[in-house]
Amino acid sequence: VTNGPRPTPAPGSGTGPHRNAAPRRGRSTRADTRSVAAARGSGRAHAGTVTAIAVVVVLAVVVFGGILLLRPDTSTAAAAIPPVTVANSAPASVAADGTVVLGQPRAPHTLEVYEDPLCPICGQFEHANGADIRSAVDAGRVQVRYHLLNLLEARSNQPGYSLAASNALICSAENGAFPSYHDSLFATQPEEGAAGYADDQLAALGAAVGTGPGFGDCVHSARHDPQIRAQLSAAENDPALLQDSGSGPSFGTPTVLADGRVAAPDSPQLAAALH
Amino acid sequence: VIRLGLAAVWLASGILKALDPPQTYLAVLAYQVLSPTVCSVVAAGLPILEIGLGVLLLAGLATRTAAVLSVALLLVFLAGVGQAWARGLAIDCGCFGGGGAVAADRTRYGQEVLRDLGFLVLAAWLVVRPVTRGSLDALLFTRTTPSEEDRP
Repeated sequence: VTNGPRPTPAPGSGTGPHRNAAPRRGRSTRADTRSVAAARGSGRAHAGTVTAIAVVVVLAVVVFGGILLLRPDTSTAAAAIPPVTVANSAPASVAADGTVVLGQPRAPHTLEVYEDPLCPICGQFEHANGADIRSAVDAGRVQVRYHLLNLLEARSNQPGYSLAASNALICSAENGAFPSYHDSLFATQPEEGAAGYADDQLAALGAAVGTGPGFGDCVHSARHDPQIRAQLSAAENDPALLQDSGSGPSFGTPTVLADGRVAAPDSPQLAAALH
Repeated sequence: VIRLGLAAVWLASGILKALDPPQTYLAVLAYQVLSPTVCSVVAAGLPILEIGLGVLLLAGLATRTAAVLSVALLLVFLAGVGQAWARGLAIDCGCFGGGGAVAADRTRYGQEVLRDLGFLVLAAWLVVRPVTRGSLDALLFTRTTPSEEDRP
């Protein structure tokens, strides 16, 4: 308790008449203690008010920050998806179940590719093998059947990018631009857990790689969603597609079948089909 | 000292989460309690809440309120880790960044629960004795409170 009023040095202090300041100060300090003790109740009330203000400030910061963070991720939002143009003359079609079929029907090898547009390992697979697959398809050695899945539908923030992008990929195959569209999405793939591309961005990419005017409607209508969901549940229940990932056999993406058998991304089996 | 320690814990965990929003979202998702949309909100708000608590504790402002909120938040974390353990999920708690699914033999539930219980003790102590030296609470309010503490 040392915060009593300091003796104010009067003009010309230090000389005779002011020497008795010290005893006076002692008295006033004791008086302060009593008055503060008496005011303790009101001090508590004061503390309560300030606490309430502090809580309000923290809540305001939380709400404000939340709004700030909930805004669409600026790394993927608004910006156009960089288009990758693939010169590819191979025939492309969409099967009734939504499978995108690319390449000559009488090619000697077949590849079944199960992938999710958000899945990082699928991105690695495409990075490692995408170019080889394109040239093998162009040379007529391989027919590829792309099964586009929404396995990681919940794992974009907001959820749903896997499904929207898979739908857009099937739309691009219907509009004759699947290889370019597919390779564009995987070249600048959204990070898992981040915001995916919005429907408008997916539609704009189609225009950039030369899809027809119906493409935007196809993207926004989500018309292939039921096929994609059905493909996923069929894949997860197909014993031939399960692989042991450390905790028992399970289905994951990417899963690649080369000539009907599961092939690891770096396996000789896959290399044999491609070269 | 307890106040500063708990402040450091909240600031560290909050800042690490704020630096990697995608990872934080996946960590919240991995508990498999909340719907993805709610996870999105929690993942956005949690780092800010933690940093806010850390700042309040560091400054010693509204220490008791911050300590009560800390206790509540730690109880939520303990419940989250506990349910993941009980359900046999194989996840990392993501307490200080990171998080998400891990291999079944690499879970650390025991350590995570003990650590959270330790933090809980710190927070509970601050609920009981919120005003300490160097805090804004002590500076702003009642000069009598320190003298209360000084009394035997």
